[in-house]
Amino acid sequence: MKILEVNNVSKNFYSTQALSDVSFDLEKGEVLALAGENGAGKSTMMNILLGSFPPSKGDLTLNGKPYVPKNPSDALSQGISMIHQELCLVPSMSVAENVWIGRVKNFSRNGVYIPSLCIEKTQELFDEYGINISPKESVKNLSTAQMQMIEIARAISYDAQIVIMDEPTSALSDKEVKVLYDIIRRLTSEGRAVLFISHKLEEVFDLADRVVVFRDGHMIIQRDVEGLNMDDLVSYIAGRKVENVYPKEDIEKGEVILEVRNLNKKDTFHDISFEVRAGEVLGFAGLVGAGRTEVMQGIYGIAPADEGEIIVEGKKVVNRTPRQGLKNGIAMVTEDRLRQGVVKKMDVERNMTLAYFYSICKLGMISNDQEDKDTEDMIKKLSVKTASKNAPIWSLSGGNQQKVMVGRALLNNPKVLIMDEPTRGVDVGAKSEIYEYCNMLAKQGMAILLVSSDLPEVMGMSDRVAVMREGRIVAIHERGEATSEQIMAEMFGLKGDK
Amino acid sequence: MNKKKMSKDQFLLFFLKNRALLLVLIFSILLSIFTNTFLTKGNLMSLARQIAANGIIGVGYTFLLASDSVDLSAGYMMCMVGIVSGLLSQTSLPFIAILLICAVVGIVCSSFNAMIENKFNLPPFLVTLAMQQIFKGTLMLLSNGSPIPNLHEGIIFLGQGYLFGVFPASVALMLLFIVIGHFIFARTQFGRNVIAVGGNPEAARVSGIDVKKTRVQVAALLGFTISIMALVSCGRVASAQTTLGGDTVMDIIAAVVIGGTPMGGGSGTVVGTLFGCLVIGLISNGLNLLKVSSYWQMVSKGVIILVAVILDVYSERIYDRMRNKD
Repeated sequence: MKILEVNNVSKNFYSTQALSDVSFDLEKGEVLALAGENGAGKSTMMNILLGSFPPSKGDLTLNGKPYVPKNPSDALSQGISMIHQELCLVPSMSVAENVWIGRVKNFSRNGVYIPSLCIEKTQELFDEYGINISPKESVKNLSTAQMQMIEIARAISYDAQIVIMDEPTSALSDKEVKVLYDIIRRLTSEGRAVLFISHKLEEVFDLADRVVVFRDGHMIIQRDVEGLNMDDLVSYIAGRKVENVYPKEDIEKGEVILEVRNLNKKDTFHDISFEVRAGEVLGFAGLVGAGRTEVMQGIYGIAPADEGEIIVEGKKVVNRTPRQGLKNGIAMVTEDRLRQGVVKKMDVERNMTLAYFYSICKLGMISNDQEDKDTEDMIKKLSVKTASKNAPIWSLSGGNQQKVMVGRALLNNPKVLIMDEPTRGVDVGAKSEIYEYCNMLAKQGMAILLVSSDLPEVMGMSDRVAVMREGRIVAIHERGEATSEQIMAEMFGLKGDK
Repeated sequence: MNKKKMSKDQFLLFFLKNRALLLVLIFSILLSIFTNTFLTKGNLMSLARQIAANGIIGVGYTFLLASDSVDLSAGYMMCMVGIVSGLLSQTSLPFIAILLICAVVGIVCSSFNAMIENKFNLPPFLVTLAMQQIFKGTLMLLSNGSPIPNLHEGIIFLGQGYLFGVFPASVALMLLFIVIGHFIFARTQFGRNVIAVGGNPEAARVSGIDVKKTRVQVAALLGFTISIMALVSCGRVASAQTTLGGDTVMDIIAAVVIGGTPMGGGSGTVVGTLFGCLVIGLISNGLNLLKVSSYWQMVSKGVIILVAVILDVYSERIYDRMRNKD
């Protein structure tokens, strides 16, 4: 019997298409896995199911009736609960109070909250599902894995018909994973359905009855797990794309511009060594959390590494701040455009010159003529579509804002350009323009480090691809040497690579 | 239809951006109609001298708010600097030495606020709330709780003197601060650092701007304006007061925000602050002329501040609306 049906759902944010025409359903008592790369549309789908935002097109039905959740608590009241990837707990409250958060009135008599009732009820729940944590404990004393178990317990406590789990095992040790597996089996035997998102593909085979694969906002396939093998699943996820989306040109390589030796940062990345030549694009593939951004931040100087050497054009440099990185010829387009990129209240010009204006100052005064001229040149060079250089930054599309960010880095005339997810949240047109800058800059003899979670992109645009997993570079492939399945397998850390 | 709506938003924005100037005009017109004393030379001169002190510290405070910070201790810090100047007046030190020592005291105290905020990653609100008490206590210890008369004649001149026999020295000083402040804000590297730090500290940091250093520099600038303001306002009443600082901070914040520098930072206008000070000055001045009790003046000042902050949020909303249309 179908509990939930998703019919032709699309979602776009401004000009970015996050989901296109997705349909799938969820049966009573089954575990359905959602698989796909970062940015494939899984989270958007979850948020629609939870009512965080409505779909742009399409509709949902729950138990045969139209389902239009207004917000997550509305979704909850209609029987859909979720275990979040990020921990949403109140550290100062007890385990029991965290489990029943927002429902304290259930444990009140005449309006007075009685903690013992809450603890009793929690103990019952924990016993039933085999969770071994004291309900009286304060959450701040728990380990991350235990906190994750509290999240899980909370999601179950709503007696929801559908429990959504977004990477629930990422913080768990093997022992707790086993408990979680038991919980999931128990839930399904009670006739509830579990929607399961995981990057660990083995779990799909261990747990799921069926799997739905997302790629680039499209649903690629919906099928039974029985009869599916790992290779097929990986190729569904990675996909095979038309190669000429990526206008990569073959460029003569020059001298080594940047060399990194044994870069280490405690608990973040380990033994990072590589070199890039003039005219070369070195791509970095890996899952979110593999440490790619952190390595780049270490090289540029946002968060310096603990040890290791950075050598620019044969000269050892120390970048402890971004300013030092810039002075040593390294510039970076940061990953999170909203948080680390645009200054919302500044116009296009000031955003463009933010990392650069200090260098055109005489006695602390900004040379306005120089600033105007350089900005206008850069706007032309990158063909930024803006009403004028003094238009507010928010009046530009995401893609054009990103071009301004690239311009910000380029104004410093770097020898090494780091681009961290330069095409995220950027429309197709601006994407291909950014690829063209990549070629153009490489031709001019720049060395480029390209971090991207879009595997076809990083493979399509790079001369070599470094694959990172858990803070280490696990492989570096020449262009065309490895298949996307192979790289994907390395990213996920699967054994038995081809 | 869409176009018409757009232009309505733009009109509203224009009004909101220039609200201080408009308020000044409206108040002035109303006061010249309803009183016959407002437009006299004596009254206008006393109005200018009333706002001179606020205008000076307003320059420093504009930088502070633009960098997304706040300082509740400014009033008592000013008072303390005033007491220091009073004590120094009793010695045989020359005026220039008194001026320098007071400036150093203000700069050090104010920078200290920022350094604590940086070091322990604390919100400015909490740090300066505590510091306010420390300054208050210190000034009482220094003065034994009573005002200090017999100030150095240089200080008296700053507060009461006239340049060339006609132009009040305090007003000239304020205008000088406004002009230089405006230039620093709009044209220098430091001014740009300040709005970048206030607008998006993360973006500023990864673009190579030293956020913590900038915050200390802003505080130092504020401290300098606090010191000068202290001398001007002590000079005006010819004695170093112990209770002058109480309401000062609120008046300043109100003036800066009404002037067009948002709470939350990222932009600012020094010239706007001058008009903001004028608005606050006109409220007191006008209500005095209309013989309204000083208690009602407090109430009405509060209302104006509230309205200014609401307008501030409102203009953000209009920005959002215009943004979402694209």
